[in-house]
Amino acid sequence: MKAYACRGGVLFAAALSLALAGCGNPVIDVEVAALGGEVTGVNPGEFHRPGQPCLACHGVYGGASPRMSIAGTIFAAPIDKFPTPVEGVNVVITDSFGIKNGKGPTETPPERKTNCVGNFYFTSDDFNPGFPLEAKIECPTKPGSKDTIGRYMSSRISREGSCAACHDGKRDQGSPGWVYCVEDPKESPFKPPGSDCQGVPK
Amino acid sequence: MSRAVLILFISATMVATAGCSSVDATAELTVTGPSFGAAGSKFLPISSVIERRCGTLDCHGSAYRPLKIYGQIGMRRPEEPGSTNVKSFKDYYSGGTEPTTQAELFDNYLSVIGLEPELLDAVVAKKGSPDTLTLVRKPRLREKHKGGLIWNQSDPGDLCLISWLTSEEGKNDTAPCDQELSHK
Repeated sequence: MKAYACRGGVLFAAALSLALAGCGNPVIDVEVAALGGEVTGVNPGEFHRPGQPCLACHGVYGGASPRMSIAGTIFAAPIDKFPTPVEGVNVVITDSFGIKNGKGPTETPPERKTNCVGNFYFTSDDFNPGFPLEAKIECPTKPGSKDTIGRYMSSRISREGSCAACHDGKRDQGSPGWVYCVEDPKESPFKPPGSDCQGVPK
Repeated sequence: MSRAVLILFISATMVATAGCSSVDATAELTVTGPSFGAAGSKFLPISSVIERRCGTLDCHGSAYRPLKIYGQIGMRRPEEPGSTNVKSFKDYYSGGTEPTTQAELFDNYLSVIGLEPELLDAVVAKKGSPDTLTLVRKPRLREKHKGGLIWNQSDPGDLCLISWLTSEEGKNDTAPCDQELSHK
């Protein structure tokens, strides 16, 4: 009888574990499902899914590794269709304690530059900021240039770590549009990434 | 089951059912809110603070929040092209150059008033303390708030709000609002 009881307890514990493992955050689950699958020819990694809300998977609830605190994609200019990404944009995030990119107010903040698909990220180990945040991007004046033009976000980031959670698609009454470097698309010096970029489907 | 118990059970069920369906859809509650002013002039400084500190897209600039806030730097009030509420429709987007519209200002006022109308009415009538209001308690983090601490008691943003809630009609001090908005 004791053996049956013990076996029953083990079975119950196993069933409970399975049930709990299946309990994610349904809101996040829906959000992640809506993002769709990976683009064929692009492996999961720092070059995948530009323009998507990174923390949906890489945030507290998503569980994907690495755990990110702030992440996003910088584009060239606001246009209706999917825009050209910009490589080499330096992102500076200042938190409510004056910490910049994970370093103290009196230290030089480390650079955090976008890759060839415009993606950048901070892991929670790099920088676990205290909200609200101030965001600045330093865009190269032309591809590969060390000269930059700074652009500040006009409002604070109150609690969302994914740029694309708010900066989603074209500008409308619920979105300021993608994060971009140049106001007028005709003046953009940036070109789409070449085939040597890992984020370009092979 | 005895007849007496059955009758009691049926009576209790009827009372319970009646209690569920006794909402009077025609009932009205008259609430006296704080000053809105001509064309929203008295509420504008307060709305500006709330838009900047609470109304970003990742917080109350969302259609899913009970305290829904519209504004120039957050969510815009849904409008169709040609709407007379908007001066320049091409600039009417989140972060665009079209300032917060009169319609957005009024909707923000309704959001604030509608949060706890009876309590707010009591505060305006000086029959209750503003410290009882969720609108006051949440930013002070005296009540659980997903957005955390926005300001402490007697900080400029807090004073801006309290002055508007408790002053005589249109006599609120807007200097703390300006001070709050001057922060980066």
